[in-house]
Amino acid sequence: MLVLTAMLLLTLAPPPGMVKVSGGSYAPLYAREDDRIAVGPFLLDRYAVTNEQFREFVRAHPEWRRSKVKRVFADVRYLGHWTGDLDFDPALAKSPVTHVSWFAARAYARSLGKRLPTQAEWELAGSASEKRADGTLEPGFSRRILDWYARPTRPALPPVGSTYRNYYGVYDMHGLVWEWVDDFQTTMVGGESRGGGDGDLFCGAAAADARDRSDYARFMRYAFRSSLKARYTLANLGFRCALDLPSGKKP
Amino acid sequence: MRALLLAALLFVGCSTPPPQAPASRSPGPLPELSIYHLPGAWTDQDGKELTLPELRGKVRLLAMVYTSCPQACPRIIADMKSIDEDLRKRHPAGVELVLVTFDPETDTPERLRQLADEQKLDPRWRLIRGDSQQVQELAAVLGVKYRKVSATDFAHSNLITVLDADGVVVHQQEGLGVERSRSIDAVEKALTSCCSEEEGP
Amino acid sequence: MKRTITALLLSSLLAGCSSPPTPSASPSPAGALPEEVAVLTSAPEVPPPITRKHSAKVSVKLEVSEVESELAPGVTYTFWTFGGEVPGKFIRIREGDEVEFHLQNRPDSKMPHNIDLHAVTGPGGGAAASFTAPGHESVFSFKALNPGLYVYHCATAPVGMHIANGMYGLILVEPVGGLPKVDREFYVMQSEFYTEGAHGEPGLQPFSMEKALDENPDYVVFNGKVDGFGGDQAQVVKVGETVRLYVGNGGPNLVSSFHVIGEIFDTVYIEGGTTKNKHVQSTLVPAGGSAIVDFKVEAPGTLVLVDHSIFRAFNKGALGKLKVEGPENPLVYSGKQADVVYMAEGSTIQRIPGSRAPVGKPTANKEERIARGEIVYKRNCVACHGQEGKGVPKVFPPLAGSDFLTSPEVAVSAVVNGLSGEIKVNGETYNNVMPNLQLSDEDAASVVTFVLNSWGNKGGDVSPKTIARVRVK
Repeated sequence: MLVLTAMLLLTLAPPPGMVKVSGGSYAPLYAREDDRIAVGPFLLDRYAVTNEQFREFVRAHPEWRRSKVKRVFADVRYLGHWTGDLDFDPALAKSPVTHVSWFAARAYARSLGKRLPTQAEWELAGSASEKRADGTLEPGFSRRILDWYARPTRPALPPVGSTYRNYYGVYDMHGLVWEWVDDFQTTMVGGESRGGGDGDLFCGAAAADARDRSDYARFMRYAFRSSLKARYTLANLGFRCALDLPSGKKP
Repeated sequence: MRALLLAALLFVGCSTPPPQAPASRSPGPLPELSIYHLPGAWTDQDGKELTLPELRGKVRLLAMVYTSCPQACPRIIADMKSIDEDLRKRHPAGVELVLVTFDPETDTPERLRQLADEQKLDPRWRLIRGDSQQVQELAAVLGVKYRKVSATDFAHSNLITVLDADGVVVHQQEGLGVERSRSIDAVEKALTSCCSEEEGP
Repeated sequence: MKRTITALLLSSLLAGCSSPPTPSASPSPAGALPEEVAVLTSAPEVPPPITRKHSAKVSVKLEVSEVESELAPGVTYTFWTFGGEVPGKFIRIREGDEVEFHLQNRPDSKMPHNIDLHAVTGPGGGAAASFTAPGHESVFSFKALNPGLYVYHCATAPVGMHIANGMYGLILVEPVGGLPKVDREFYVMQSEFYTEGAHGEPGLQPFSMEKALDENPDYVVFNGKVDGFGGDQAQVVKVGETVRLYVGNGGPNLVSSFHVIGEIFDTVYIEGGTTKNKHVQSTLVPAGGSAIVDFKVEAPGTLVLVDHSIFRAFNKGALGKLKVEGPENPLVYSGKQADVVYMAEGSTIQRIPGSRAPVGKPTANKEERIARGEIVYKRNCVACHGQEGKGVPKVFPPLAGSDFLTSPEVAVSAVVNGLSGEIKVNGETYNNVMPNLQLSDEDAASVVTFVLNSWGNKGGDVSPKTIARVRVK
């Protein structure tokens, strides 16, 4: 009976704007192969949150307006690309919202009953190519990621959905913006790879088969995340929301 | 003499809830950068509930630890004790000290109480737990990185934070057994700007 | 009751709060240093020498930016830079200075960055302390304990990629008392780039990790691009000037065989340290290392900087140019003076018809001839007759105290007409060939005058007219 209920729930259509990412396992950077972390199935936003969507949130929650937010939760650049508390260039409506802090992103997600994806979830969803759940070894997959990392910031971000749709039906996992994850603070590896107790990273880096370029790209995401603080707001950093599957509710 | 004083303090600390004197002045709004903006209710080693804004009014040393931590956390606590000890040479009252657990599932108030007793922590120490969201957010504002690495263990930054009376981070000491003079300077500076008027005799 | 005790204790404890602050906030001795802001320059410029005789607290502000610009004609690359260009800004401080370093990462950067200065004594060379997210600034301080020329670079993971994209530069810590004064100073930094496309393939070229791992670069360049020290970037110096190159190697992989075609380094500060080597042709510059080279330019023309691992120079871009302007100085360098048929031992000397002795500026008197003659001697005669005119026993006769030089004419004839066959000098028999040196009358007169007045010889003065008379037409 319980199983039946679970199955029934699993077949339910995801909420609008979200898709199901079937679970899998995910190898944390520089972990041994048998240290893979199992990632359960979850729901993920099809697109990164846009300026337009974030404005609705800010309208409903004035404490997150540019003029009201406490500095401890968002630095001075918070929504700095907007022209006012609720205003921005209309051309940016469908572009991903950036200049948002981790606190702001979490508050947004919570306001919709959602949450931020974990790093493991994000990486799992992000390793899908157009055709496969794990596309990391496809030629061109890592190239696209590294190319974006290497390209200077464009003056205006393109709209969401403008890069590629992956196996799960999720758009723009790479090539549009960096994205916050809920547990970014668990990235203990410093961007600095030597000294100061970060020796693991260095050893790991040497041990990893760095010829696998997907590792290289992942390496950079970890370095990036480890440079962040929860109140930081960056020109290239946005977010999307996740949700537990109805059946997969944690106790 | 100090032993005597300590004994007295301990004796007192074991039997009474730690005093929570509210700030005697009429405080304005919390500064923008105060970590006391964080919402949520916490519970201390005596089962007493508190919110972070209640911590306002005192200069504090704060660190995040967990009770089953085998090595790093006892050393963090030792470092906090030695900062406190140095301070008390010039400021007999020392500071208030806060320990926040990474592991609220395991660390019940009883466990926190036990740690306080084992470590002979006087009533100026408050050992508190919140839910995992609160812990995550507090770690986020402090820049403390942590990760559960097994059922009982956490990997974590070793950070002692100096908070001024308004809960603004004025200094952080990173590492174990490191030079503590800068932390002490930071506390003294914070004491000077907060406490000399309203807390004087 | 217990509560009362607590309260009492507390009140006494709280009283402590009001005790006066200790004087620990007063400035430390370090704080007494005069403060200044470091002048930073882009290659090939170098900040002016430091003239102050004391340490200072120096503020260095370095901005990291990610920019697309030219790597070679028609080829662009997204460089990650310290200061907007590759190599990064040149930083000049003095031994004993206390440096307050501000690393600023532009808000439009995509990556976090940091800096590891090899001049720093401390964990990571400042890397951990300077790890900076986009749109943020990190500040850390260090004391410059050791003098020398040091590389700095980004050490953010993946380190190789950050360096491969251009994140390196030089910081000079001048020794107390400074370096010897020179007329001109330049900043040259070698590095290599690994691109998806082959050398010369046009357009924006992404970084190739495979090639970087194989250490097989498409470009090896000075100052961040093909012709980065040359082309329209070519520097011009004047004959007679002393030149100092601060040479760095950003790598990420290759060790440079740094050489300047047409010069000899009078002094090399090996690996950018304090040890000096003299009269060096090529010096190794390790990846993540440096060298300081000094030389005096004596003759006009173009000096060519190369990595003498030579295919890098001619096929991958490791060529730089330093133009030397000024009057010709044939004594130092003549251009081609002779093209003679090389004869094996014992054969007679022949001159190729049409080759002409070059004409030098006339000398006015004996002193000028001795001075000029010394240079001519060093260039033409030293190889056989030696610095001190002692010759080589049984092979080349001595000129010092030589009983063969019974008259100036004998010497002149040998110089302008050559000499072959058996001769006896100071009791020793020699049977060798003295080539006709194709010297001008002036040079021949000068060198003979120099020889006659050196090493205990009995003196004399030979005029160019004498030469003309003795020269076999």
